[in-house]
Amino acid sequence: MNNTAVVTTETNPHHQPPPVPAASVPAASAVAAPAMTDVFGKPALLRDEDANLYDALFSRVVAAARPRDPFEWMLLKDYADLAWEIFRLRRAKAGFVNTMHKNALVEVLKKLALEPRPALLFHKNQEAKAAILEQLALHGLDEGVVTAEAVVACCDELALLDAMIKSAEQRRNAMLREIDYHRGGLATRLRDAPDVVDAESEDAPVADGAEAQPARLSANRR
Amino acid sequence: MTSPDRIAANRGNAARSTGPRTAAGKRKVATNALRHGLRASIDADPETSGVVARIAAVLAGPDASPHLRALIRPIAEAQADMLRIRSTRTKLIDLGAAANAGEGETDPIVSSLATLVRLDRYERSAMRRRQVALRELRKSYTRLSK
Repeated sequence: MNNTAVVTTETNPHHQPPPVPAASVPAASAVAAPAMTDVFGKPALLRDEDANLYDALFSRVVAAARPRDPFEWMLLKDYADLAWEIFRLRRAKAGFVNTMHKNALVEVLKKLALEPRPALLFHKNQEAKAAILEQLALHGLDEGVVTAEAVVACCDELALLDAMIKSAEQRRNAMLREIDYHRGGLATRLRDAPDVVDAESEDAPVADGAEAQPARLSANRR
Repeated sequence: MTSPDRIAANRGNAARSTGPRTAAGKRKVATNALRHGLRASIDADPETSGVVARIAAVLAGPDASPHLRALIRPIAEAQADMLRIRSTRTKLIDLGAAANAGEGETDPIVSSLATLVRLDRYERSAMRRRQVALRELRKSYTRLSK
């Protein structure tokens, strides 16, 4: 192979695109998606995560970036994996707070010297919920105080989850810089892609039995 | 300071107990120090070494020179490590979910947070190795292209 040949891609106002070995940069058609996904194997998904949603995310990333060589495919795969990891952690955080909500309501009612048993019906019975909210309103409080109590009860775990989300975001941003460095201008187009998929995944159907974890993805898995 | 008597006693004890002697015993203790295997040599893991070979082959292309292959190998190794860590993470969370099945209240991610934070550290380390290797590759081509 010719080691000295270089390919420079789009121009970047901030820096020159890095040289890339020409022989390792096949034409776009030569780097087909199925071939690359075979190389990286199946995506690392949880058993209750929907592989179709991951594919939708990766497809959008690929559509936005139009990778032109295997290095770009590799970086984009990481970008999609990290974006997915961020969604997963955010959902875990929201699901965890929701799970703690019931316990927190009991604690709030106890603190206000109210009968805690109706808390068990809060999410099941609209009348019970209205009665509890009425009681809270008498003390100048609303449902937000229950969420606050839940957050306080699990703040150590939330701090760790936040740290992991931040770490994943930093790595995703580092990936954008790496992609930017590899090919000027590409990362700018990518920055909007995951948000679109995030919005779509919020609307995704939730499988039966997923009620306990309302913020998780659906249960279908390829 | 250790006394001569103590040293003699230690040597005597060591001579009497030098670990397992049978093949089965040696096999059993071979993984005593293994905690998760994520830092094990890639060559020791046939599955991961296969992934490394596939990634390296795709990145280098069919006609790559030995020089290019040598530069690309650490990129592929770091990438395979990252894939291995991600797979480990999901297996760990799935295991937590299976172990907590029926309890309903504990999120498997939350119940595995301490371990997940450690895995995060490994992934960052692998990503840094790949970044360094990618820059080495680019530097090499910059030098060659001048």
